[in-house]
Order: sequence, then structure tokens, then C-alpha cells
Amino acid sequence: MRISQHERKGPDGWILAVFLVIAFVLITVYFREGPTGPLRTTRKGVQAVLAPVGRGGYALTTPLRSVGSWVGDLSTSRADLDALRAQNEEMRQRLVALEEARQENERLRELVGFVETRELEVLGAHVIGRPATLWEGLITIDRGTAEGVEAGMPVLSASGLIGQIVDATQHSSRVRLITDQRSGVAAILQSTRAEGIAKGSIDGGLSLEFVSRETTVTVGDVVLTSGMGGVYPKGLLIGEVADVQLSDADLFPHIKVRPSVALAGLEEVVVLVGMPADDTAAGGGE
Amino acid sequence: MTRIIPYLTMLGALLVQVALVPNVAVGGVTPNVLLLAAVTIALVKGSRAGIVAGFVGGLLFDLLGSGPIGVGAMVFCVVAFVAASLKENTFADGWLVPLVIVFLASLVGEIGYMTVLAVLGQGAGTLGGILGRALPAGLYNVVVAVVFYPWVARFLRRDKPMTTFRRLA
Repeated sequence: MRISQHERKGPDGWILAVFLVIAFVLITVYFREGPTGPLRTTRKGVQAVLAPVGRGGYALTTPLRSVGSWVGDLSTSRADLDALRAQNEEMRQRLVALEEARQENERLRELVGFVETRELEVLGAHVIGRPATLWEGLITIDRGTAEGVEAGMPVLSASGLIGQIVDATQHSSRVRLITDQRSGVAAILQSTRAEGIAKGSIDGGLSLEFVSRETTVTVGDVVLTSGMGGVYPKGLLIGEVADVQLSDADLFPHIKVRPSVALAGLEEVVVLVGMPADDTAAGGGE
Repeated sequence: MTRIIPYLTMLGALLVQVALVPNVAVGGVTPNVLLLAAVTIALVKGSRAGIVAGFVGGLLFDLLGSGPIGVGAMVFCVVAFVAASLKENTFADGWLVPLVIVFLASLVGEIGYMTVLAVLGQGAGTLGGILGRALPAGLYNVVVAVVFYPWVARFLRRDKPMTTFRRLA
């Protein structure tokens, strides 16, 4: 049996109280300081220092992810592949490399086509970091202020809207995904033109809020950016309605939206660095 | 030398959190290695070291994210203090004790973080957040702790070398 050491120890409760006060002061300073305040500047510095670490980790774990994906994709014919793998190891590795290049080529062509169709002024970027904590829907890209990226710029893929730059260091930037709980995008339902806010949630879901009760919303309706607010161009694909619930007590219907972009597997994105002329009054925002 | 070991542990945890954790997400759920390190330090070194480690770990956690700075520091140091107190007042031995404490600490830490954010108007504390994020994260932390805890605890007790992991409990 262990004897409690509590009594012979010092007053740890006081130490806890001191650190709680310091934490409280930090929170207060954070809310009172401006965008260039000491805490936000420190955060930027830490992120600039850690961006290469994240990029290194991403590169190092690529084989791990590839193996996981390979096993997942080909599990139905695993017995056959086990026999073939022994004979064709070198060939398979080459094939994987070629396939990777082909898919990247395809994605980039799709991106270029998307950009040319809409006449957007964009900057291509690679995803170099995924969310490091549970409560953040943030990814890191390999473009920063040196390439003209600024906080607030929209980020897209060929399939639609991804999010918005929240902060940029010299050679990397962080993008808040549309599914992040702090994200909100002015949106419109394509079929009825009803407006609402596409809002992220704490569990990574996306919903369309503040749509009028009188609006008829059906599963499958397409959700687009509305062009209100000055951040996002009008008409970018956000997703489609996945579920609608409306009870007599609700002020607004509960609309779940399935994002058009598979946000978990993003590899290449484009940052919208310039708006098309007819979309200057477009947008949404946090 | 032994005084800086907890800080080295937190630095190692930071590097793992940044480099490895984002790439081992399961369904969007990631382990919280910084919290895990702070709780491990609290269990091995006691509540005083745990409070400091929790504060440092929470502050680093805050700096990695985009939310208010100080929330993680506040929650993690409380969780580490409670974890150390729980260990000191538990009349039980065995390898399950630290794992159970890690699970409870992770669960309370994640729910606490979510709740403080909600109070500050930086998010909504919902049942979905608890069931879809905090609970899976707690379980994931326990899985990571099975590997992480024995090695880190042994690293932290360099002044008292041990030959088996059994004594770490």
C-alpha cells in the first residue's frame, strides 16, 4: 500500500493558482491586443519555425500513408497480390511512382482548367501540413507572404471552396477549412436562391444556417457562395445538401451540407490572389 | 540535468505533435501528445512538476492552433494537477492505474478545452463534440500511452534507473 505524499509536499494549490492567473492574463491580453500584438506575433514566429518540421513529418510519413492506402484499396485481391508482390516488387514501386505522377498531373490539369474557365488570378500551392490539434480545421500550404499570399484570401480546389488564409508567414500559410467551427461562408442554394451561412462545426461537419423556414430545401440541392461580404467570389461550389430537419419549434431548418471537396485528402490547392472584375463585391467570411 | 528533463520531454512532445500527429489522424481524431506528456510528468514527478508541464504544454498547444492563447495552458495545468493528486491518493498499484488516469485526464482535458472555448464564444460545446471528438481522442490517447508512457516515465526517472516497466505503475 502506498502512503499519500500529499501532506509533506508544499502548497501546490498556490502554484496552480498562480499559473491559472497567468493563463487568465494571457487570454485577456489575446482578446485585447490587435493583429500585430505580442501573442499573435509569437504565434506567427512559432509557426514559421515549426512549418519545416511539419513538412518533414508529412514527407517522412508518406510511405506509411501510401502503404495504408494501398492495403485499403487492394484488400479484395490480397491473396493474388501477395504472390505477385514477391515477383514484381521493383515494378510495383515504379508503378506507384508513375501512378502518383499521373494522378498529380490529372489534378493539376483539372485545377488549371477550373482556373482558366473562371478567369481567376490564382497561385498554386502544395499542402504541407494537416491539423495538429483536435479542435482546429487548419491545413498548412507552402506559399507565404513572399509569394503574395495574405490573410483573408480564399483557397480553392478544382472541386470547389476549401477555406480561407488565416495567417501567412514568409514561405507558408495556414488555411482555415470551411468545416472548422470558426468558419462561416455566405452561401446560397442554387435551386431556390435562398441565402444562408455555411458554417463549420466542432465535429468537422458543415451546415447551412439561417435559411428561411419558408424555403423548400431538398436533399441534393447545390450550395454555392453567395457573393455577399467581399471575401469569396460568387458561385463557388461549397457542397450539396445531405439532410434537412425542421420541427414546429425551429426558427430555421437544420440543414447538413456535404462538402464538395474531400478535405481530408487534399494535396494541391490554389490561392485566389485576385478577384475577377465582376466579383469585386463578392464574398463571405468568418 | 534532471531538472531539464521534463522540459526536454515537452520539447520532444511538441515535435511529435507537429510532425507525426497530423499524419496519424483517424476519422479526423488525433492524439494529444502534449497533454499526454504533461500528464505523464505529473504522474511521475508529482503535482508541482505537472502543473508547470501542463502550463507549458497547454501554451504550446495554444500556439499551434488559431484560438485564444492561454486556454490550453489553463486547462492542461488543472488536468495535470488533478491527475497527480489522483495518483497520489489512489491506493492501488498496477499498470492499469496510469492508463485509466491518462484516459480520464484526456477526456476531462478535451472537454474542458472545448467548454472554455464555448464560454469565450470561440465555438460551441455540443454533444457531438464530446462523443465525436473528446471521447475518441481520450481512447486514442490511451492507445498512444501504452507505448508512450513506459518509455517517457523511464526517461523522466533517469535518477532512479529501472530494469522493468512494471515498477513504473
